[in-house]
Amino acid sequence: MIRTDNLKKVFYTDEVETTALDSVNLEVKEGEFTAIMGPSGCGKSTLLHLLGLLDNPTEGTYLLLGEDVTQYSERRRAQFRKGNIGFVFQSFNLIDELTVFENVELPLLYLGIAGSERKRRVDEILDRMEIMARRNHFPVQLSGGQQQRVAVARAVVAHPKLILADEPTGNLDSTHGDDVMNLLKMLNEGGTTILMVTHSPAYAEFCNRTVHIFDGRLIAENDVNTFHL
Amino acid sequence: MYENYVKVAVRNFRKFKMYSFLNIAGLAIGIMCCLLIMLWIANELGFDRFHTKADRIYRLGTDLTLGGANRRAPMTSPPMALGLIRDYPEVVNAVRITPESSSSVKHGDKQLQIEEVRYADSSIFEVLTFPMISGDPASALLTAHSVVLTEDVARQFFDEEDPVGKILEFDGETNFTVTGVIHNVPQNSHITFDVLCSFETLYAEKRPGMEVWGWLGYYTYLLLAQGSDPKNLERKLPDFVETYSGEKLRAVGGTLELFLQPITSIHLRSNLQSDPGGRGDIVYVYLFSGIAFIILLIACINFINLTTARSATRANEVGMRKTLGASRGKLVGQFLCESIICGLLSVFLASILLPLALPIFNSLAGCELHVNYIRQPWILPGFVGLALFVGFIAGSYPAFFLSSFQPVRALKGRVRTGSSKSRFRSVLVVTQFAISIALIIGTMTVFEQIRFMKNKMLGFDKEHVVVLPNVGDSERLPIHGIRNELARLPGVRNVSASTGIPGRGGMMAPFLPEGFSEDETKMMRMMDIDDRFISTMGMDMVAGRNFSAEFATDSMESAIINETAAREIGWEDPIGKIIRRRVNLRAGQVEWSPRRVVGVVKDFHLASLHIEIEPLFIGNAAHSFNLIAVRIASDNVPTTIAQLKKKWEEIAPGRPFDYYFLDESLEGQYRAEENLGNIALSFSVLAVFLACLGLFGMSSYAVEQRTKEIGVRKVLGASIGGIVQLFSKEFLILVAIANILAWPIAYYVMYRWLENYPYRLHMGLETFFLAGILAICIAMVSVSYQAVKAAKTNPVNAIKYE
Repeated sequence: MIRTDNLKKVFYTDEVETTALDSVNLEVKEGEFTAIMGPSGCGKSTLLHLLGLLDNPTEGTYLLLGEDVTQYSERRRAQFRKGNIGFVFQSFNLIDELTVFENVELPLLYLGIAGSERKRRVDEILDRMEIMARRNHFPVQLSGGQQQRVAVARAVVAHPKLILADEPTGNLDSTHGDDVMNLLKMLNEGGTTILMVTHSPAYAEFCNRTVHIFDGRLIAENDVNTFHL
Repeated sequence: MYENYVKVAVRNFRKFKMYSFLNIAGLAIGIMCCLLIMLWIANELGFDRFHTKADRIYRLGTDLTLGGANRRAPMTSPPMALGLIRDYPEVVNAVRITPESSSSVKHGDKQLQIEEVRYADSSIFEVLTFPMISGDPASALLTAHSVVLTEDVARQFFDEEDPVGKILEFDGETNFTVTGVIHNVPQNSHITFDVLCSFETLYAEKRPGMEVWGWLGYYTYLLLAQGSDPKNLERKLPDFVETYSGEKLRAVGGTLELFLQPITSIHLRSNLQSDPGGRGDIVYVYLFSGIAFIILLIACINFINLTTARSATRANEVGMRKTLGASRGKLVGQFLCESIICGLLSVFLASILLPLALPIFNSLAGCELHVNYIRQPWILPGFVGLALFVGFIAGSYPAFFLSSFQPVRALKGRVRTGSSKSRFRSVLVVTQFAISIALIIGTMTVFEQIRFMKNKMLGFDKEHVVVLPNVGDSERLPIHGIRNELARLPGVRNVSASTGIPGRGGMMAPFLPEGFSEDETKMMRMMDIDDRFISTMGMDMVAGRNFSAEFATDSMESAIINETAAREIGWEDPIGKIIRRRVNLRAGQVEWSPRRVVGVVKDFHLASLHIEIEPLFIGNAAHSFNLIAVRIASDNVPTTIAQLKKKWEEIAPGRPFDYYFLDESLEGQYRAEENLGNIALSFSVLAVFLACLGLFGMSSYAVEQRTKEIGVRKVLGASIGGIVQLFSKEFLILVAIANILAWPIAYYVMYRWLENYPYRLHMGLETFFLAGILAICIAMVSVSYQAVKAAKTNPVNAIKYE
């Protein structure tokens, strides 16, 4: 599903050049639940942004679903993201001016799905995420855990093939954190490929494999299946 | 999708109430001004278009050169219209109308002074569109001594009774039969009147000149055949002139050209002598269109500034929408949709404000504009169009700016709204203030010029002079008898009779000074005065003597000229010189009647200060006196007026006592400038207000953005003054730059405007400094409010903000 060759990302700010990622070779197969771990500033989020087509790499190639998406324009990347990739962020990134229902509905709107179908799908996912009662609330009226549930619902409502989660539990207490992880696990078991950045070894254990990054380089890989054998 | 856009827009408006208010109110005020000016322009451009055949109606004009003088005027002779209809099939109809005159009209015991009486052919109702309420338009003005009244006049005489068939007595001598009533003349008609008498009356009364081809004393309007080309007709007019008056013209050494003016262009584009007053000027139409556009631009700039300045608050949303697959086009669409909603709300607000502002505008601009949302069906689509236009103009830049955010940076809140973007905003603020300052300077200059004209020494004393116009001899007394009677009243200092008075121009006529040949005649203004006029008006003689009752020959043989006449003729010592006055005996025959110059009067302004003092010939012929000037004591003015009225009623019973104060009437000459000044004043106030609104919004945003900085600075010991200075400084620098840009532009424009005035003020630097300081103070107030508020906040609150 995902294959990168020597992926490199350099940030230029004024006179300072920062290499955030260097020679990253990563392969993710369909249906995998992969954790990306590493210390702060090591490039985890940058990798996730590149994989999620939110940014272009400086060097290297990136194949997503068999397509070379390395040098896609923002317009094509937006096109590709729609329906293929769902995102969950540490800070939820819900739109404050939209209700729970409307936030979850947004990806379907951009996909041009008809109103009745949108309603059905949003309600179905809200039900599944157990936040139906909150469908007409605004994000500020929800707890952190509830907000992240909405964010997850929004990420999966369009049935994406890939979900990218950037520290989805980072802003949550352990109860809510477990909750979200169980949700993701459930989705993964339903066949969705998930890549998750996390600091927490405990949550990494929910995954099939863990990728470690240090100073922008991939340094080790643990396959949960083999590691636990 | 659009539903989603609308929802987000509405929720954003609600969440950021103050910014939304600033945005919408600012745009609404801009739009309202724009609408006001558009209404005014529509009214100006719509003059005379209510005539259903307006596209085929042309006014005939004459360009006459005679005795070295040229006169281009809309004045024609009665036979011309008849000849044109007879000789040229493309002229299907014509109407002749006299210049307006004033008459005292009586019915039973009701007597009124009717200011605008005109005589017109019965074809007026076929050529022009003045719909009749009662009477038959085809026959109403066919016979002599018939009169058609406007609604208002009919009501004044007859209340609700039908006036048709009733008799009105004009000036105590002639009876007219009322044959019809028409609606009041629309205010957007350049032809105005209160009553219309039949043109036939003039023939019946054997008025002079009715059969004379060269008697240019009437207006002629031609109705051309459908599809005929006025240029084509114009090319045939020299032959027409040649056929009917070629010989006579050659005999007196004159030339005459005829030309056509479309009726719809008379109000704005005609600039002929004897044009009726109250005309517009296409230059003002352009000027105000420009101002309307500028005000709308300022309002749009506010919107752009506030929206882009606040873009950081929307960055997260942009990032998330992009992450979820929104293309840039979709986001541009979303933000444009928001600004268009803003535009619609503003237009809605403006449509409520407009009827409230209209009466104020009308009184300032001296016009009668109306707005009726139901009756004027173009208004609604016009409003929607304006909302779309404004929304698009104001929303485009913010839409493209906001939608350009990179998703990753936007989500991390790393969107830069500083540096280059803020430089763009600075340019916009400078533009706004430069426009505002230029408008302030313009307004101040207009008012200073008005004050200059009103206070200029005119060569006579205009205070405490009461003028009785249209006096003439009464049944009991000749005019000098009336004069002597009035002079006996206790509050009266001096009384004089004359044919002219400052503010009322005076006729232009050819004169032949001693030492000049007949083809070197001089065009001079002329008037006749009695021996008391000079002293009554407080004028000075610079040479020779005034007319005097002691010299019986003065009335037929003497003349006074003004300094300009002496200078232009080239006489160093004019006293005793002969100047001949042209008298038309019969068509083509001319006699030069000699007058001896007995005195030179110090130059005075007979006309308004719009024109330079012209050479003036003053005669002493008592038979033509038609007005009386009374200099009264400065105290007890009402008592004196009452005495004058009482005396008048004794001398001329039944005739209305009509009077005005000279100084007031002279000030009225500058009404056009005052209207212009008032309009400029209101719009510059609004422009400044809008610019301040924008500045206020910008500064409050800047303060909000730098709350933490303020806190830290305060913790480190900054004073409130220091904080205010920190924020005010950068805005004040912008306003200072705006001054530097505005000054030369304002100087150039106002210099050109002042060039229209032969008597004008010298633009001093003080106007510019004053406007600049005013702008800086206003800007200071709008900025420092926010800065002081922020500086007074407890620093802990500011630091907690992070």
